[in-house]
Amino acid sequence: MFIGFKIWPSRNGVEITIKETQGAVHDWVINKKQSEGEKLVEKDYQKLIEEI
Amino acid sequence: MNKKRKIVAIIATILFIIAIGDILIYVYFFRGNITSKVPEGVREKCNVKEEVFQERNVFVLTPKGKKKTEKVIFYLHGGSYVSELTPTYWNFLSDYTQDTRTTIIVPDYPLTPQYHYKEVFEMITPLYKEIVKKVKSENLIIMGDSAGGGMALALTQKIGQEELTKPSKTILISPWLDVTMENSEIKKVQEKDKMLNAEILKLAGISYAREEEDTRNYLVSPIYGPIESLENIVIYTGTHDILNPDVHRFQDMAKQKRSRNND
Repeated sequence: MFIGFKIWPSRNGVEITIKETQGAVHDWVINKKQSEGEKLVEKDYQKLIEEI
Repeated sequence: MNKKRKIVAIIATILFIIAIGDILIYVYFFRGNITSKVPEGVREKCNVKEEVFQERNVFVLTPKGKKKTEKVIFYLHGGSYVSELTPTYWNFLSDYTQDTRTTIIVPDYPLTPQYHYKEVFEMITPLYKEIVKKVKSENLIIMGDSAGGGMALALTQKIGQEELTKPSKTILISPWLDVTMENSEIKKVQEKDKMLNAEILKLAGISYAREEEDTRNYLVSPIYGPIESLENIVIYTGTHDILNPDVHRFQDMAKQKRSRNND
């Protein structure tokens, strides 16, 4: 689950979006383990699919 | 007895030096030339085409049994700049090409300590230029994780600097944005991080930069890079990752630069 979803648009067109998951370790979406639970990983992976 | 002990100590020291020497020879002369290989089972999940660019492999993954979309992802893998594509990446990339029905282009870029960021960008920048000749900007995405996430942001910045065709989006997963690891917040997160060690990463970062003074070059640490041309950057990060504090710092630094530019 993403917590702290931030969108930062600017008049220059610069946009940086941070999608932060509480408790997740490095590359958890890729490793598909080592976070707070498999369900959390699966939800984040689904978000990554929707990104495209 | 003492003499015997001395002899044993001398022999042990010599053997230790030889062992260390072998490791260094291996690391410096062979490690950088390691090339990634497609593990068994990956080709059962997706199509993998192996191409060669500047004498290095470039893997092109497409979905199997599904119609692919026009979207193309230029993916830069992680591994602290020292590691090739591991089975974990292959699993992820083969799943991802199937689930998104995209084409994923993955360069097997040169690794440190034998090679450094200049050689890496001498490969990936011309490769990107070749890709944009064939793929429409709106269909192109740059993506990377960890060290590859830093590289993906730096490449996006370089594209802006050189006024090349931009991708529609840059997606960074747990990106390594500053190899100096000087952010004081990193120490607090280190206690929770079960995967990465800041001191070891720092050594890999210096090696990637070749010279310590180059660690702040934006191609090595994109947190110090130009932001003006960045348009659509999405960053995935976890709070138990020592690379997380620099993601927030990057956003803060970018905000400051933006307000200075707008003044």
